[in-house]
Amino acid sequence: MEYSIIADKLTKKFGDFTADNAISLKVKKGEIFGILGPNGAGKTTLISMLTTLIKPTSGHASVLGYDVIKDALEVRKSIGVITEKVTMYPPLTAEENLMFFGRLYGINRKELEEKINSGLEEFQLSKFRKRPVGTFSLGMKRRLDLVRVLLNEPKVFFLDEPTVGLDPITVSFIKKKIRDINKRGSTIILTTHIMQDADELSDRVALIDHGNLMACDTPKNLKKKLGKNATLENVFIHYAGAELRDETGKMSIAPRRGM
Amino acid sequence: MVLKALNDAFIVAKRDLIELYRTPFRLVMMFVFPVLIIMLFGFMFPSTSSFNGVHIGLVNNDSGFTLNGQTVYLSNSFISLVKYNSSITFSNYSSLASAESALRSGTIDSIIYFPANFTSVSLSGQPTQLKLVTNPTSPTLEEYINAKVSVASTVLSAEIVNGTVSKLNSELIGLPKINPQFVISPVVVSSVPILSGNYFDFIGPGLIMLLSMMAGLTALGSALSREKEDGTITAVMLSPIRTGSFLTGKMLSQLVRSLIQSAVVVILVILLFHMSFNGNILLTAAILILGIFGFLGLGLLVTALTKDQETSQLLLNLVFFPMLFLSGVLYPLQELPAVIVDIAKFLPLTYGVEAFRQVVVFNASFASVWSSMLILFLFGAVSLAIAVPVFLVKKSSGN
Ligand SMILES: Nc1ncnc2c1ncn2[C@@H]1O[C@H](COP(=O)(O)OP(=O)(O)O)[C@@H](O)[C@H]1O
Ligand SMILES: [Mg+2]
Repeated sequence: MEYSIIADKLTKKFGDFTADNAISLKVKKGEIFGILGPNGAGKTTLISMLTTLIKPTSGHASVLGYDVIKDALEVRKSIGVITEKVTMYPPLTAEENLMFFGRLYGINRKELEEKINSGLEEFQLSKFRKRPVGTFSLGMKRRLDLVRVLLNEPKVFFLDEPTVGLDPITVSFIKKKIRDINKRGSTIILTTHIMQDADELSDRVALIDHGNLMACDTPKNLKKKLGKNATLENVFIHYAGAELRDETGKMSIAPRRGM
Repeated sequence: MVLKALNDAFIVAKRDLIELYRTPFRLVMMFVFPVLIIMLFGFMFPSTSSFNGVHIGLVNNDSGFTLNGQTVYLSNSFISLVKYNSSITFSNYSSLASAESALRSGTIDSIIYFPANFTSVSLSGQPTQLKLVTNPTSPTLEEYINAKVSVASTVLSAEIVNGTVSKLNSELIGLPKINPQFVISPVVVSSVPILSGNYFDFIGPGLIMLLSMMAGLTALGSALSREKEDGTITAVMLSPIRTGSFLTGKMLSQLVRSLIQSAVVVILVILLFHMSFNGNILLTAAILILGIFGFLGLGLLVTALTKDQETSQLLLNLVFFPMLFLSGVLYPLQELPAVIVDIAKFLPLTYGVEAFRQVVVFNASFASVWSSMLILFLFGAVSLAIAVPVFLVKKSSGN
């Protein structure tokens, strides 16, 4: 099959409020697909539906051919997700956290130990393995989160704002890892409100604003439509307008925001 | 399938217990807090023999009775009888009015008033009277003083009767002699406690059971909200584990925690306060487990229906406090008004506390507590059957 993800008119309403409005898109196998939009655009909600965390109000989606509602467990087996919030138990050590999540994926103990060793090595966390995660810096936690998700060797990899709040060295480290993981054969879906990240990493980007899909193409094509020297920022303003967002949706062309 | 679900539940439970082990402060508080509570309540509702610093005001107008040049004062004998074997102290007041104002201001705890003819009336063969003024705003103290005074009056009465009867007996010729005891109290009651226990035997089991139920009530809520805060629940839900396994794991770890907690607390309370423990260990554990189980569902329901932890805490308190006071944890239900006793019959905690106490203190058998256990089980099963679906729906609609 050609596509990793197919979303068909995915809609999510919270009460009267429409967070995502009939979003249809297809993500090809092996590509890095960026979802770009200001804060509050509906990126996390979209990811949550695609990763089976919340049920769409209407519409359908499938990941690797599995329906996100009917075959949720199958979907979860083949995806890896880095959420906006780091997801480790603070009192447990790095090793204990990895052990716990690895076991939930049904990886046997011996194989798991090997994977944990090589993962910690790859993300330069080996010497912190016996330390409680609560004592980690955000950058270390992000890296540990990547180790955790890779334990399962996911075929489709979702990252929700993976670089927010990190120092430039960690950001570039993580971007490099994202490319590496992609080269190893995983499809990557990446949300960000940082134009530059989307531009640099993505094979194609979807622009969403106020829950609507505004455009979906390669960064190059999107820029070309606006003429020579156009940046992705120009593209974004072209589609979304430049008005400032209310408190939940701060406009994000501004510099990188801290957590 | 089922095996994987069970295995997942064990993985979740094991992780919870590792976390407990990694947070020593939480672990220690788990044992210290209940013992502290039991101690506080144990001393707040003491047995009547342990009051300290009781202070009684005396208004003694007794002018005594002079016989053969010697004046006797029965009031003095009475006062030393009240004082006997206690740490009660006395002050004298010149008038009832001044003593009453001292009682109102809290300087003294009650007043004993002897009239001028207290001794003379008695020795002339008539019943004599003294007046005890008490403070009904501190009932346990009032009860204590009443008891002391009533013992003193019984003993003094016995003295007087003894004297009178022996004089009478010497004058009765040809009739059966009268035993002075017959005049004092023709019917004698001998009261024998069924076991040598103390108030901790009442409050200890009650509070231990209460704590288990509280653990059941708050377990899922606090665990889930901590997981939400740390974002870990998202990571768990994104792995191929069923929500049911996750919840089961959480409940399992809570059961293990609570059992460890109860065991340690029981041992501490036995060592520190000499609580009796006569029950069968297995039956005791079974009731504790049912107590926790019985309240898991209610706790989960509250968590599922509330937006944040503060609200759910508030709601849980709303459930918890009436139960605390209405289910016979702190004092016997018999002491409460009939209406409240009727309400208590609808509270599952009542059955838990009752059954647990019976087993721990009186070594009751399964046959005598099975119905209480069944009620706890049913309450738990029904509330879980309601709570789990509500939780699932709430969760998948985007918490
Ligand atoms: N559980 C929820 N209940 C109500 N509103 C929500 C909920 N989750 C998200 N929203 C709202 O939906 C909109 C989109 O949120 P989100 O998908 O997190 O945006 P993004 O990830 O693009 O910043 C926001 O306005 C947010 O306030
Ligand atoms: Mg987001």
